[in-house]
Amino acid sequence: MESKIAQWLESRLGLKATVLRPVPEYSLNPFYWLGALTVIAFVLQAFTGLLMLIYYVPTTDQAYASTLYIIRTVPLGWLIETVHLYGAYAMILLAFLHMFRGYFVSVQKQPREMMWVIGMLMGLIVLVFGLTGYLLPWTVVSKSATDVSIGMLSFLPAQIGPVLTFLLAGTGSNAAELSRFFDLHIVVLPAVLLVLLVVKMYMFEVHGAAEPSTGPKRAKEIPWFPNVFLYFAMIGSVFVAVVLLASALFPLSLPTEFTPLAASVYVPQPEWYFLWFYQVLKFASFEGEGIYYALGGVTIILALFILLPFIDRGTTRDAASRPLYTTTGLILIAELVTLTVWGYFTPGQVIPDLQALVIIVEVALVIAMMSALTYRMRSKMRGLPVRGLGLRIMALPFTHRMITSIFAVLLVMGSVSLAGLVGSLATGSINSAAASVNFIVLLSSFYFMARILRNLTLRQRGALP
Amino acid sequence: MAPRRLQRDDLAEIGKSKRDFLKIILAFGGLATLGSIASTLRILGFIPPPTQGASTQALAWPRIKLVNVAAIDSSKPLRFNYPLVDTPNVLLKVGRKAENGVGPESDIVAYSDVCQHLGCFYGVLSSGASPPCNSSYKARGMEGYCCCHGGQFDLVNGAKVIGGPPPRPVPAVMLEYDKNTGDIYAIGMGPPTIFGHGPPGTTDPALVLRHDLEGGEIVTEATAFARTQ
Repeated sequence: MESKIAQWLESRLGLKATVLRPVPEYSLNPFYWLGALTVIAFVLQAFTGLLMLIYYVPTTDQAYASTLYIIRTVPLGWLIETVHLYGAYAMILLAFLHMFRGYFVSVQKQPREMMWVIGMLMGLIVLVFGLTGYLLPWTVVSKSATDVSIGMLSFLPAQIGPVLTFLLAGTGSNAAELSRFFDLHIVVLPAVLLVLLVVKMYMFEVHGAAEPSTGPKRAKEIPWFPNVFLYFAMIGSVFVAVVLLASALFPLSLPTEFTPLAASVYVPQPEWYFLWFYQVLKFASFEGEGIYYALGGVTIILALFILLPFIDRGTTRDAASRPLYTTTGLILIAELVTLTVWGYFTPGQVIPDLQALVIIVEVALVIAMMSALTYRMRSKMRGLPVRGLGLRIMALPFTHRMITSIFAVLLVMGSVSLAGLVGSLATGSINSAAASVNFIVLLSSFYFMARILRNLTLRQRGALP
Repeated sequence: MAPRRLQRDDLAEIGKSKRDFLKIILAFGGLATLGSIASTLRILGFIPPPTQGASTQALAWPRIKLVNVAAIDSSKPLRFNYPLVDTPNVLLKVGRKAENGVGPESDIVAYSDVCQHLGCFYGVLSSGASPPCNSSYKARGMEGYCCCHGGQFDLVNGAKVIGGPPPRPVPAVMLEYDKNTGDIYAIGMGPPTIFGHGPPGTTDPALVLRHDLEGGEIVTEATAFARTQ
């Protein structure tokens, strides 16, 4: 039974016909809620951010001291500060997951092209949020990282570069830089993000959640209250609980305050979400004027990704029927992860071109080969049930003793060569001959392991004699 | 008198003038669009305010007393702000005759601490020392090593780039040595512009002076060593 208040609200706002309408059953799946979780993270950031605003002073001589005051003196200030940091990490991670999940099930296809474009812009704004917020505590590492990103603006064309630099950071004084970043972080970016969010939510109300890329398109409708509400409340609470728990267990420790001397002996590294780009900038070819190519290349890849719905115009959405785009996406993720880990382990070291080329090409090749084998295997076994296939394939080597031993030898060979490659990366010294041997051993062991698995699977299913 | 009913010819006449009107509006609209694009590009250039002091007084490098020769500690660089409070530099006694060197042995040099690659602050290594970010690297002389992206400068030979990504040497601080008192003064900055001030790599002395002094507070003897440690 509805109360009078609920009836009054419904007749004025009409929420049940729009936002609170029933949703299809398939959308009660965490993958459909990654965007919603990102919004929850944003609300959490706004809340903790407002709390910190009470104490934080955005001037070059007070920024660090007031941040330290929040952490040390304000009751639970350390928790607020840490939740704001981990909330930012979670928001960025969720935004990435949301995007890649959308990529693999092609949500960006007709009629949701503009949702993808707006979503990509929102993702970029989230990254700029990270960049601008990073400077505010005025620590030695955040100041250096910020100077690097401002430095990159100087490579833009002369009509735009100086103007943009002036708007973002002033003409070179620390005070101007800090106050502009503060304004961007707490006024400009939230406003822009909210406007984009409203536009995107409007489009979401028009188009609804994308159907699953495979399986039945028609689904039972689930009422918004109480089912969907409780589901949302549940995953939302779990998310907030995870952020709170992580913050309580691992409170942040603030690096030292920025001074030029401290900066010159500190090894500055950007936050993890910019490490991949940091690593690209350290490739020997992108030294000096070569930075144009690095910046240009990343801009082109980004532009292609933003315009993806207008490039990939096919109507198939199932990842299994889009080998080219699925493999490209997997390679992109693998390269991002590789560059991030690699950048983390080689702070301040220039990477020789050959080494960079070997690693980049190797990662792409391994992923492409694994992807190609998987697609071939699938096409050979079309019509066979695939449920639990992964588990059964994993169990196969252990039911054939001879093959198991060969498999084990291959596994050890592959692991040793992989360890060799990773090790030489971590120390920054690579011997090109040893690297190529490692590379060949790694590839061939992968190849033979994949062949063994494939033959065993096919034999098990009676597809081969 | 009853109004005359419109005839077919009248309608065609009205249609024609409507089309002409639309054409004229479109032409003006197109011109206005082109004009606004051009003027936007022009206006963008006015967003940064004119350089401070350019209109009121002639720009000149400040002259700042840094240190007495007798007080220089050759084991560790002296850090000072010049020409603005936010542009740090290092002063070194390199131990042998150096390019840009002053003093009795011409071995005292000073360079901007801001790397020309992307604006990080580099650290100074004595011969044989390793930077904190790369233990396998050993300096072959007095070197600057930037831990952001691995830039290396030979501080004995005019801050020549000997490794890493910087596209050009860091600018030297022009020093003056007073033989009578032994005092060392900073009297200007050599080309190019300090990174972050004006277009990178500008070498025209008038532009270097203008860009290096813009956007901040010019140092005095009181602020030359503020917040450098």
